[in-house]
Amino acid sequence: MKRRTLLLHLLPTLGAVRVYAQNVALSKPLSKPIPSSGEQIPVIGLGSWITFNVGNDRPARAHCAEVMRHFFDAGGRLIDSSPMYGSSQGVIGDGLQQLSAQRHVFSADKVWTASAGAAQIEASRQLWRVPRFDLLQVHNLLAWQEQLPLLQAMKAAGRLRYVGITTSEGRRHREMEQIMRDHRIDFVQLSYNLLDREAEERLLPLARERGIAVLVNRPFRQGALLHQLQRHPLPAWASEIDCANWAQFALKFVVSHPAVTCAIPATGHVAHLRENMGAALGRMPDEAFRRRMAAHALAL
Amino acid sequence: MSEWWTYRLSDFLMFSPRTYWRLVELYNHDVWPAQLAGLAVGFAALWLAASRRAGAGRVLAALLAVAWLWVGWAFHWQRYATINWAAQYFAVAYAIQAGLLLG
Repeated sequence: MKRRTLLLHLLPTLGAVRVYAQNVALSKPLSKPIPSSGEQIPVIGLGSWITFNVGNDRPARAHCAEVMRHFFDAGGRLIDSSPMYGSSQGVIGDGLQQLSAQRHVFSADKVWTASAGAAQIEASRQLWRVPRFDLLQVHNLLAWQEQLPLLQAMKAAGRLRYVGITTSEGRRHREMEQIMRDHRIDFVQLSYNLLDREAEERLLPLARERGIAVLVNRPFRQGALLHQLQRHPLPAWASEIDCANWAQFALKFVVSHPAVTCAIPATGHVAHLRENMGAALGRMPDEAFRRRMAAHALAL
Repeated sequence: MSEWWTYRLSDFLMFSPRTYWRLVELYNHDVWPAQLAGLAVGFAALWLAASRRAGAGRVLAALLAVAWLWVGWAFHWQRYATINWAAQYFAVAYAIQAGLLLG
């Protein structure tokens, strides 16, 4: 076969390889590094406030395990919970056991007590059925003066990998800022979304400056933001960043902020989980596009 | 709890409505046919209250105390506490109420 003929035959296959490579790139979820270690974690995690607090209802617990299975299958790793979330920790532990995912999960939990933090943490660990937590956070800064040194000591002893603090709904930002400046921590968790953007003013830039990873809770305002947005059609220009629905629009806005490491939307529905995980795929908005997204959401 | 004025009642609701009603459904399924005994106790209490017999008040109080103890233990302690950490305190309050009725 002449060389020219051979090349002509090869050209379509080269195009097919290019499309396949693009699809492979699109299908790999975006990860970001934890600044203090460089470890990469996928930008979409899984929260468990309310959604996993199903008590001893066996079908409901099995359904939560199914949500977790789809989460891991879609490339997710970080699951966040707290002793404050009722039975959520035990439901997660059962799911991890069923899926044999104790080593795969990035376990993020919290200490939420004014007294015996160590005892509560051990009880939480047993509910999760993990050998140790990856991340422990002082929940809503409760007794942080006592609990933060406890977590730091656990990390120094190798019983914990990362230390963090949390707040939500814009509360105690000043105190959080002070702790971020005065103490060596790996993570902060705060509320941030298309409408609640106070964190952009000080906390997110400070996290970037101090090399602190950011977990974002309430990316949908606990569903209220999505309900509000879903009354309107998704703008056609959302396809420019590969958004197929409002959940992905809202999440891509959050995780595309340079300081944000991972968002943790909570859901008990497989269909919603799949939508959320889609936000880690495809193109991400740049700063100009993010401004356009925020302005559009505010105008609705 | 700092900035307490920024909290709404819904911030303290840590379970979905579906989860709560499933809890009630499963509770009723698990204790069946105790509901029939509960109805019988209820009718007996109404009869005692209307009868004005000597000692009826003490018997009525005892029946009510048993009812409070039952709900405090079987619902709040055993079940509601699995989704609401405050329910263990409800159970204690129900037990105190039962004690007051017996006292």
